[in-house]
Amino acid sequence: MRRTRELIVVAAIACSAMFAASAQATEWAGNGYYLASGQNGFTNYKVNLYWSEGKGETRAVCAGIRGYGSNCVSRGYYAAYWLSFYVNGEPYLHNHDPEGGYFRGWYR
Amino acid sequence: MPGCTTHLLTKRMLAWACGLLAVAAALVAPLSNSVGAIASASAPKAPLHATYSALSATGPTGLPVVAPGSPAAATLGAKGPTFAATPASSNGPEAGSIRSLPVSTSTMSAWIATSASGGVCVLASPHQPVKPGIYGVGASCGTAATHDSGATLEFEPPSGNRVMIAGVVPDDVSAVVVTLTDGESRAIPVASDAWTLETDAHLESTHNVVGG
Repeated sequence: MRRTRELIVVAAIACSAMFAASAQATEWAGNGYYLASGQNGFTNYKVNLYWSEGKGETRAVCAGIRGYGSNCVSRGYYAAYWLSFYVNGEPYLHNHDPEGGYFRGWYR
Repeated sequence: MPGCTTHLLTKRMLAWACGLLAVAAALVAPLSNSVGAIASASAPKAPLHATYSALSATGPTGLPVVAPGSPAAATLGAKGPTFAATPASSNGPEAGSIRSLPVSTSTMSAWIATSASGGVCVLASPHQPVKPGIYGVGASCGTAATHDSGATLEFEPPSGNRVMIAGVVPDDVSAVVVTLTDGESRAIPVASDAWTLETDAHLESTHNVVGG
């Protein structure tokens, strides 16, 4: 009986961990993250990711994965760039706007 | 009676497991919402005015939905672009709404979709992989506030020199006047809500031409 209970607990914790991992986006840029016009912003450390997303506060932005490409959008739009696989890489943002501004960035 | 005891214990264990899952879900919910400005899919959507017939198209999308890290992603992702299924808290494209678009260039594919916050998205993927067996897909997603303006993205693969541009516009737009950073302006015809361009210069601005 104890063994059954332990198995149930392990299964519940494993399910919870999987759910948490799949649902969570990590915000790596935000809260006053400033980029000058044309400037890149990197995490400066590598993570396992397949998805990079960015949004400028009324600024055009590019979001990408360093070495794997990027995608740029106009003011007011969210930029997303993804691969089919997890890679060990760096999410990054690029200020694609003629003016400096504040940005937010996420990866999954 | 031992059977009754076992039955009661099993029930108690199940309740305990369910309780654990509920606590986990309660802990995860704020984390999912921590993406802040990315609107939640459950947020009320503003009434939309512009229509996009391309969103009603039928037929295969050519962009299979996969879970990153799954065997399907490994198999399908090595052959071409895929859509990585994302949680509802993202403002990315809504998987069920993705439809294929006709494109005038032979170097990329494009799609239209609705965004989780009531806007419209354009998706594009160059036919050339970014690395052997790895394809990248980009998306530009608006909110309900930009729904009537369409969406545009600019794509520059790391190995290529050419800039790929793709856009979607509402049904009443017949052409898009594109101004590039080299000063050139071009009128690009719209077909099935879509327009694409491959060029050496970057995108400066766009202007939708309504009517024909």
